[in-house]
Amino acid sequence: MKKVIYLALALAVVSCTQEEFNIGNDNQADAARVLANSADFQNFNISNHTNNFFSQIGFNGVYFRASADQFSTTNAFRGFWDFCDQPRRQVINSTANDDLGFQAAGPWNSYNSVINNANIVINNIENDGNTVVLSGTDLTDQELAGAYFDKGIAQGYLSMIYDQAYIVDPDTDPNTLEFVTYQEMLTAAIGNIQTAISLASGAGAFEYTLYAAGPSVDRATFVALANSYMARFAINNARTNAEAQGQDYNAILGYANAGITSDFEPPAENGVIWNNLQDWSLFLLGDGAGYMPTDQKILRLFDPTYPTDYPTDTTILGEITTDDPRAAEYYEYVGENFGFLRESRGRQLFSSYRTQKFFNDNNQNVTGLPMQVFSVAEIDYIKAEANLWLGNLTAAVAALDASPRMTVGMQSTTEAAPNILNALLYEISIELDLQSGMGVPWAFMRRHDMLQAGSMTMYPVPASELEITQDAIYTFGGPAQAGEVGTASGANDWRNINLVY
Amino acid sequence: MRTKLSGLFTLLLAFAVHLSFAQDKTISGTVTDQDGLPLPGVNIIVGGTSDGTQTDFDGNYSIKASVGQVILFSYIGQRDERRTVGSSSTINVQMQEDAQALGEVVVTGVAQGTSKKKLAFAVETVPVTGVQSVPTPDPASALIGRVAGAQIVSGGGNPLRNQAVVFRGASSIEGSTSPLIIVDGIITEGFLNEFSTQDIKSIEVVKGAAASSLYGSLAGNGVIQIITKQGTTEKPRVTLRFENGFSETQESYPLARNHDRLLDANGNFDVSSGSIVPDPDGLFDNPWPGQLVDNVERFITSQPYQQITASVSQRLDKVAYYTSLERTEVAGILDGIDPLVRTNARLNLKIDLSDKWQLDMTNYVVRRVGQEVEASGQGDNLFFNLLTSDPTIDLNQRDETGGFVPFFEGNGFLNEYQNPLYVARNQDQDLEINRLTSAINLKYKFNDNLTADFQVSTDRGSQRLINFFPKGYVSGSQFNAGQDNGFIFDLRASRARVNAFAQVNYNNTFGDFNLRSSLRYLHEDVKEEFSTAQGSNFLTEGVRNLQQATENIFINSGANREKTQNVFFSADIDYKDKIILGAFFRGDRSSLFGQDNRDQFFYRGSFAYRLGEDLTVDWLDELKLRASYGTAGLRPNFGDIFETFTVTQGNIAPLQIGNPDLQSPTISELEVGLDVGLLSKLLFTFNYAFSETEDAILTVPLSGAVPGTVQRQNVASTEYTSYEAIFSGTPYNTDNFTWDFSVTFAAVDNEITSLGNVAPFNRNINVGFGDRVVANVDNAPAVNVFRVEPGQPFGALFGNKLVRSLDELTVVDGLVINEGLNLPVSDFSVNQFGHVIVTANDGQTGLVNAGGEQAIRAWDEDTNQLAVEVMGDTNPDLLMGFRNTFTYKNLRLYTLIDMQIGGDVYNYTRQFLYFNDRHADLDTFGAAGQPSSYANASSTIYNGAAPIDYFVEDASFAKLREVSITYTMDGDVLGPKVPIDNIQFTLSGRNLYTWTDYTGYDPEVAISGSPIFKLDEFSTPNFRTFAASIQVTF
Repeated sequence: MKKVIYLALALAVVSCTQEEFNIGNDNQADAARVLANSADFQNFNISNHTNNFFSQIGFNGVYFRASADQFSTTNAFRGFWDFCDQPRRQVINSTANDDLGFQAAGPWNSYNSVINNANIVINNIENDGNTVVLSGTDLTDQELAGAYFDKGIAQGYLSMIYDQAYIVDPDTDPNTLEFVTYQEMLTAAIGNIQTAISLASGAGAFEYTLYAAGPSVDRATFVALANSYMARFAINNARTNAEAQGQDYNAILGYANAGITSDFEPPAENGVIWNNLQDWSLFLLGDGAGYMPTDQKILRLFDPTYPTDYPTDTTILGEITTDDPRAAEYYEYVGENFGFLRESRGRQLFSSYRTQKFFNDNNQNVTGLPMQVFSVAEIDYIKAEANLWLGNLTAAVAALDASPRMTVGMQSTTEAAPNILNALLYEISIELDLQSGMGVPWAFMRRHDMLQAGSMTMYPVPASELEITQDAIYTFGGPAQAGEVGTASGANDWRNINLVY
Repeated sequence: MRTKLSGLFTLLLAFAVHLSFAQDKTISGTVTDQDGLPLPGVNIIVGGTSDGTQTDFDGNYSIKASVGQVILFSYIGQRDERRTVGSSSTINVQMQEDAQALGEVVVTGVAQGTSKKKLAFAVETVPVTGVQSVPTPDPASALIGRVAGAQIVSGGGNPLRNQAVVFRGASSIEGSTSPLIIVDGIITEGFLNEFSTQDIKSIEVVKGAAASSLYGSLAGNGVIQIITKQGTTEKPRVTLRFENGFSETQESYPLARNHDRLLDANGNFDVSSGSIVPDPDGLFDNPWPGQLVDNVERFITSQPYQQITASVSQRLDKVAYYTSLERTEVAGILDGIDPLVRTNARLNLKIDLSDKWQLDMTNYVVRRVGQEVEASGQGDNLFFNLLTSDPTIDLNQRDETGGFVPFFEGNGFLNEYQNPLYVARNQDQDLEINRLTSAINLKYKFNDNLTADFQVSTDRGSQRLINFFPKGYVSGSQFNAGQDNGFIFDLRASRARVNAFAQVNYNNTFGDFNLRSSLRYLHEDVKEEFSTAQGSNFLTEGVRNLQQATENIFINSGANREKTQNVFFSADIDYKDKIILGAFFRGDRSSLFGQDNRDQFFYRGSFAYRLGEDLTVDWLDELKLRASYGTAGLRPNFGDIFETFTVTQGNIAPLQIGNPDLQSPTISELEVGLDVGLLSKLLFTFNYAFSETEDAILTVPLSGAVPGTVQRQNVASTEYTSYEAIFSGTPYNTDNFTWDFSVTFAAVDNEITSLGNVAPFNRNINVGFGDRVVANVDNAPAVNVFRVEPGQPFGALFGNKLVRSLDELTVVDGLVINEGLNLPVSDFSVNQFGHVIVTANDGQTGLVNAGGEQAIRAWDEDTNQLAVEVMGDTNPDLLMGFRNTFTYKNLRLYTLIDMQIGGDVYNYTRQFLYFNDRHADLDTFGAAGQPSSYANASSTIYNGAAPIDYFVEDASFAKLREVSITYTMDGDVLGPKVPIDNIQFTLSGRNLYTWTDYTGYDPEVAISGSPIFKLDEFSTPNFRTFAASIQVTF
């Protein structure tokens, strides 16, 4: 019996040990490890810089290209067809929509993630009083400037894309969050970007590194880039022509004048960051067609005699006529090679062209390949448009003449408001396509009511978020809602514009 | 009750004796089991007397009896046999296994081996002789139709895949729903198909927490225990078994024979406009130019099945052993795919070291190799390419090099067609799985009342998958640089479990009370390591290593560790074997639980009343009422409790918020049952079970305003109710003829009762297996139809719905708002297909907004969007199994039919083939004069590939699952010089015929290792197998 007692006692003692069950996780880091020292802390911040820019040139931009008639397809994969179809369809804002994560929830998640990461950096420095010192150099302000920059850019995109979003700061109580309007979000974005400029200007040494062991931008470029983004977000905030009339174009012009003077197109790093929007948009199919064929809009801008929709009979459209060399450089005529276009889904959605601008053998994920993020041309067009809104037509034309419209395309512009606007539609649709990240042509068209009736003019807060907050789910788009909040009226549908430049 | 029967026998025998003028003589003979192996230790009693004896090690006996007297032969696990003494002095008896034998001892769910008579909960013992006679290498097959309340679904005809098993209702929403697998007391991390069916003596099953509490946080999904064979004969018993056969599918797939493109006068595609164009009539009624080729028939071909087994067993005075060696080769049905080859060996050893010490050792090693193929989904899935290919192209044609053509140009329907035959022969996905399971068990007997058990066991598994595209592979005209310049993916993973336990047992009798009690300490240590590496763009051809890759190089590695200790105490007290009370308590301490909830506790209370003991009814062998209430759990995955950041090259971001409170879900089950034994022939069992799962673990999505995207939380609740009935027995049992049968019924309702604060969500199907690293070659489903929502069953199918009556239209302010319309109800009508359309659009192509005849979909007024509603449920209403074994002299016929009534399957294959103009339904639409676009293009029937009720189909079926006919030739026929005991000749078949209304290959589909997920997306079809075997026993 003693043996039994000893055994029972041994079992009891063994069962009381605790420490051996505290097994750590060596596979993934936690916050303590990620922020363990200045070097790791900086790596975390740099990775958020990468996220910031990767989000802008990511796959999610495809849907804005579709809504702006930059490309056409009948391919239902990931809901492409839903966004290209005519009449326009409603945005399916439901967690039952498997593609929601690419559509309305895509930019929401990626930009909020950038904001959250930036807040970790800001909180660590401002609230916890930590510093970043590497090799004896205090880089605290540099890192803080980078974090504010990332946060401001991400907020800017949220303001550009969604009807409402959260403003989250390090000391925000997650339980008391409320949505703010896209106008309020823009104000927050501008404020944070200006904070970044201020910190960068005051920092000792300064550089903003795009990805680990990757290229950096210096202080001057950083400030110019920050101003450029403020210009982009400010001018792209309006959802309708009526709203656009009330924007502060002097301020926008001020941002643009302080903007970049050379294209910002850092090199890609395989597997880390590349222009994934281009990668999807430029894919070449075996029959020579594009996976995402060029929309009729582009071709009609080149050649106003070209039809706005592809003929629904058996006609195969011929090549466009234009003297703009960019037509041949950026696009390729493929005739009857329709690739994935399906006749039974509407021949009016067909195209005989593919987009080849920036094409790189079906692979943009190549180290060293320039990633078009922000071009000087966009600054030119922002200046032109701001002057147009301000009634300075001469200055507007001058800006256009200084842009690739004249320097590359040899296209002059008449000093008349409708012609300047047409020229801007032309340039923003052709020159800025795939070289301005996500949404710029779409945002331009919405503020001039040029989108087809029923197109979304902004995403609703994704249903995945509304379900968490237990708010009512809503959506935008669809012909029945045309002209209502979030849905294009089609008042100045590009298909009805008299294209005189 | 036995006493009463004995009394009856006494009277009868006395009468018989009186008539026959009794004469004592010595009766002798041999008692064997149904395989002809001698049975030692069989109890033999002369009816009406106290005279008795037992068989020796060779199954021989002798006993004195008189003519007319009845001799009763009884043995645990075998049905009682009775023989009347006649003129012969020799009576040989062949006993039959009786899985439901009342006195059978079970070892699962109980701390010590316990007679079924004394069980207060259901432990089902599964007979395996039937499944051992049919061609299947997977022990899970033995459960089909035999275990009431078990769903066992083969997710497709890929021989490498294991069958999915769920008992009763799922107790987990996100985690695995698979039961715990134990082999000879060893907890294994392997799957059932890694174990040989021929080694199995019996399988025991406990289905719910009321019985599985013994295993605590491991057993919320129930337990399957395999008990393997041991030596039973004094002389070495050698068995050689050779089985050969072939596999094939039952039927071909319904593919379209027409199209809707314009033909010229010669019947060729009209390309006068420069390309193939639609026929203006829009009808799918034009025949394909040229000869139609049945590529499906050519690719799915009869492939061989082969199994060779050798075993030797013996039981000596102090040593018993069983050892076996087996090789199985299953080629399935796909031409050009390497077969599954499983090689396994076993050694079971039992040594009586002394009167007090006994040593048991078990060792099993298995190696499985084969070529993986994607069993569902699109991409490189062979069936996707096979079913969508052009019907006039002969995929079997060779190019100038003698190889298959990689792809074919499109013809206006699709851009191009990947040739699955080329893929099968050029892409390698070699899978190798190894497992070693071994244990040493030491028993010590202090005295008759006090014993102790000590066991150390290990279960080590490893796997390696290489996915290899050689340099020069042609993926199609869309040159895939990441593949055609060479690609390699190399997965290596290993997982080792080491368990050690010590247990003391104290059993005693106090007057009319019998006590059985146990105290056990179990320590578990699980380690897992994995690494993957991949790269593309090889430098040279013909080389197969990682360093050849120069681009897209990704590496990944990790290691998991789990430590758990468990202490349990079990006590069962019975009064005169009649009233049985049981109590059980267990504490689990696991590193997988959050540090603030590191200890979890489970318990069981049970009661049984053997009412039959109080009844004086001769025909009643047993009448037992029982009830058990117990709890069990499930362990979180490694990593669930931790705060984690994604850390990859270029991306460091919060991923998961840690949860120090994370604990095991608590799965509590009440099981009430009834066992009735009749006429020593029949057994009826009924179980009612009600289970509730509290604190089920979910991955809770977090607001975008919070760092980290998810947290694992104990927030969900589920429940199920199960009704099960099993009727089995041997209605006829004579010297020459025996009929043995079992019938099982089960009806299970399950429901998700709460998700806490989590909104309903689409169940993400990763085609994985929970925490374990498993080679996974399938794509995640392209369509997600499984939505988790309170008040709905787990398995509910959600999607859009077609409106089928005007009443179902959504009307606001007098106008129908479906599809974004604003039209009065009077503008709508129901068309010939029972779908609501805008009347004026009848016969027009295109979407309704463009003036087309479109089937209108249901609309949600609140969100002004397409309504997403419940459109089906994969859970069957009723499961049934019918097993029969007829034995006439040396001939045995075995059959198994199983049925599923109710339950749905989502036929995404059909939906996608609408899109690709390849489904035979399109011919039907064309024949009815309906433009094809109504079904396959811009209409809402295809629904843009999104889920819709049109493609929900009834999954009911009846299967002739197993048939075998066996002739046993006694060795005597060969004469004394041939040392053969017997030879068995068997013809058999499995999955022979399916009766179903399902329009696809087979309604039995399961992805992600769960029968809950019945989604058919180009699933590799299940196949049937015919075989012949010869088994020689020396």
